[in-house]
Amino acid sequence: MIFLVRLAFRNVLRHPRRSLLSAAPVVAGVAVSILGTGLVGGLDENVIRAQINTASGHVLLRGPGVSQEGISHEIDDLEPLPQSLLDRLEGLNWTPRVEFDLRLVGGMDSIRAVGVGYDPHREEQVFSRETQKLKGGWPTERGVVVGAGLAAVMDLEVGDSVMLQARTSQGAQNAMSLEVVGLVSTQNLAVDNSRVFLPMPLAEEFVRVPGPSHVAIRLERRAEAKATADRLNIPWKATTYEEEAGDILSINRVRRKAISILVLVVMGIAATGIANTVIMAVYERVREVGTLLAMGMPPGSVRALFLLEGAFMGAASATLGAILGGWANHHLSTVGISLAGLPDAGAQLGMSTTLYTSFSWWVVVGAAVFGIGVAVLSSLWPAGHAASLAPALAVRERG
Amino acid sequence: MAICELKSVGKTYPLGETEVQALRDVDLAIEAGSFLALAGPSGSGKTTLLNLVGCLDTPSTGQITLGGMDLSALGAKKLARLRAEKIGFVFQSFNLIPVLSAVENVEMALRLSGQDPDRPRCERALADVGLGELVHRRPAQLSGGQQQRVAIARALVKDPEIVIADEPTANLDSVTGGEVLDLMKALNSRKGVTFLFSTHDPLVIERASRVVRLRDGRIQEPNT
Repeated sequence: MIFLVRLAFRNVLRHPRRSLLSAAPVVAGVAVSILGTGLVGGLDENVIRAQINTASGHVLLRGPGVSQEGISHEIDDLEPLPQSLLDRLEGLNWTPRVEFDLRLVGGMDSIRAVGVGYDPHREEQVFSRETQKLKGGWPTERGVVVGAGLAAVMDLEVGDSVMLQARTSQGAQNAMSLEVVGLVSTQNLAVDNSRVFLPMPLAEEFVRVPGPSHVAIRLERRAEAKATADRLNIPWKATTYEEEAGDILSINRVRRKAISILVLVVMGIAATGIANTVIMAVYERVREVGTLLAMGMPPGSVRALFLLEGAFMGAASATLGAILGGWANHHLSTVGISLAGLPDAGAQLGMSTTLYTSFSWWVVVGAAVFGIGVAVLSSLWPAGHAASLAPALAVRERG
Repeated sequence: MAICELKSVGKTYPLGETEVQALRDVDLAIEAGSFLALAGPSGSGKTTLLNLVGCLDTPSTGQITLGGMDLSALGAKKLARLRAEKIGFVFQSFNLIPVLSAVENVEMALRLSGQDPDRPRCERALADVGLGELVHRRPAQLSGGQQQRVAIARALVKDPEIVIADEPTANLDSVTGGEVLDLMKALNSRKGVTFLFSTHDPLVIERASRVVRLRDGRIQEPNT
C-alpha cells in the first residue's frame, strides 16, 4: 500500500500545472462552502441576537387584538395586564412596552415611525443597554430617545424639539412636543431606523391606553423560549424570538439553499475537472498501466492507484480551500462586516449593523472531507476504466 | 525438460463481424534454460503466442501448461499471480515506470511477486546488467540501451521461470541491441533462465538456441 501511495503521489506531481488547474475549482468550492455557511450562519445569529437584544427578548407577549403582522399597532382594545398573567410572569425577567404608530415632526420634516413606551425601571431586565450606543441619556419622565437612523434622516440632534402625532385608543388625534434627550444606536437597523422611545407613563398618557401592548421576556437560555411561550400563550399571544424573526430567518434558509446550490455547481465543475485529469492520466499511461497489469499488479490495485491520485489532488486542494475559507471566515467572525452603509431598501432589516460570520471547525473539516470525497468519487470511473484494460493490448500501446 | 508446453493451441479474435484466426493448432515445447526465438513476418502470430505463454491472454482452443500447471484452467486473478511470480517481461519500448528510479522499478517487480523488496538484491540485479552506478537514475535520465538493461534486471530479479521478450532490440541501434542480447544470453547461461523472444532481428536469431518460425498462425519448421 505504501508503494501505491508513493507511486500515486509522484504521478500527481508529473504534471503539476495540470493538477493545479484541476484542483482550483475544489479549492474554490471548499472555500465558498465554508465562507457561505459562515455568512448565512452569521446572518441567522445576528438576526436572532438583534431580535432578542433589541426587539422582543426571548418571548414576546401581545395583548388581545395586537397584530404580529405589518407595522400597524392596534391599541384600541388594550386592557391592563391581567393578574393571572402577572402571576405567571413571577420569577421571570420581563418588561412591558406599549407600541403605537406615530408621525414624528421635526422642523419642516415629518416621518412615519413607531413609538415605544418603555418602563424605565424594568427595561434593562430584558434589553441590555451595554451593547447600545447612546448619545445623550434615557428620559425617566419627559423627553424622547430617537433611533440613530431615524435621527439622521430627520437631521435631529440631542436638545432638538420634535412633535409626536398619534391616534389615541379612543380615535382622537393627539400631539405632543418633546425634547430629544438621546439618540440611540441599538445595533438593530430596523429599530434604529423606525423607533422613538419614550417613558411608559408618558406613552400611556399620550395614546390613552390603560397598560402595555407587549411584554418582552428574557430567559437564561434560548432553548427555554418555546416551552415558556407555550406556558404563557393564554390569554395573551406568546411568540418566540424565532417566530418574531421568522421572515428574515426564512430568507436566510433560501440563502442557505442558494449557497448550497452554488457550492454544488462549483463542486460539479471541480468533479468534472478532476475526472477529466484522471481520464487524461489513464489514456496517457495506458502502456504503463498495461505494464503494471502484465507484471501481476491486481486490477484492484490499479483502481486504487488512480483513486489515490484523485484523492491526493482532492486532499491538497480541499486543504488549501479549507485554509483559505477557514481563515477568511474566522477573520470575518472576529472583525465583522459593517452593514452601516446598507442602502435604504435594506434599512428595515432586523439585524445587527455589523455582521459577524459564524465559525465552526466542524464546517471547515466537513467541507474539506466533502472536497476530498468529490475528488475520489469523480476518479471512480477513470480508475475503473484503467483497471479493466486488457494488459496484452495495453503493454503495446504507442505512447 | 519442457517448462512450457502448447498442445493444439488455437487463438481466434473477433474482428467486426468476422473472426481472425491468429494461431492454428500450435504444438510447441519450450525447454527449460532455452534461448528460443519466435520468428516470422508481421501477422504471423508471434505476439499472440507470446501473450499466451506470458499468461496475458488465454487460448481459444488447446492446452498450455507452464511449470506443469494448466493455464486454461486459471482465472484472471490466478493468471495475474502467475505472471507476478513466474514470468518476467522485457518489452520493445522498455515500459519502465517513469516516476520510479531504476532501482525502484526493479523493486516493484519484487513487491508484485510477493517477495521482500530487498534493496541490496535489486542493486545487485542492476549491477548484473552493468548499471551498478546508475541505480538512482530515472528512465528519462538513461539511454535506450540502459533502459532496456533496467527492464532486464526488473524481469530477472524475482527469479522467474521464463522471460518473455517482445522484440527487445527493435528500438535499439544494432550495437546496443547486440550488447543487450549478449547480456541476456550471458544471464541465460549463468542463471539458466528460459528466454522466449519474438523478433525480426537477425541479431536475435543468430544468438538463439532454437528458432521457431511462424507463418499464418502455424509453426513452419523447428530449427535448432
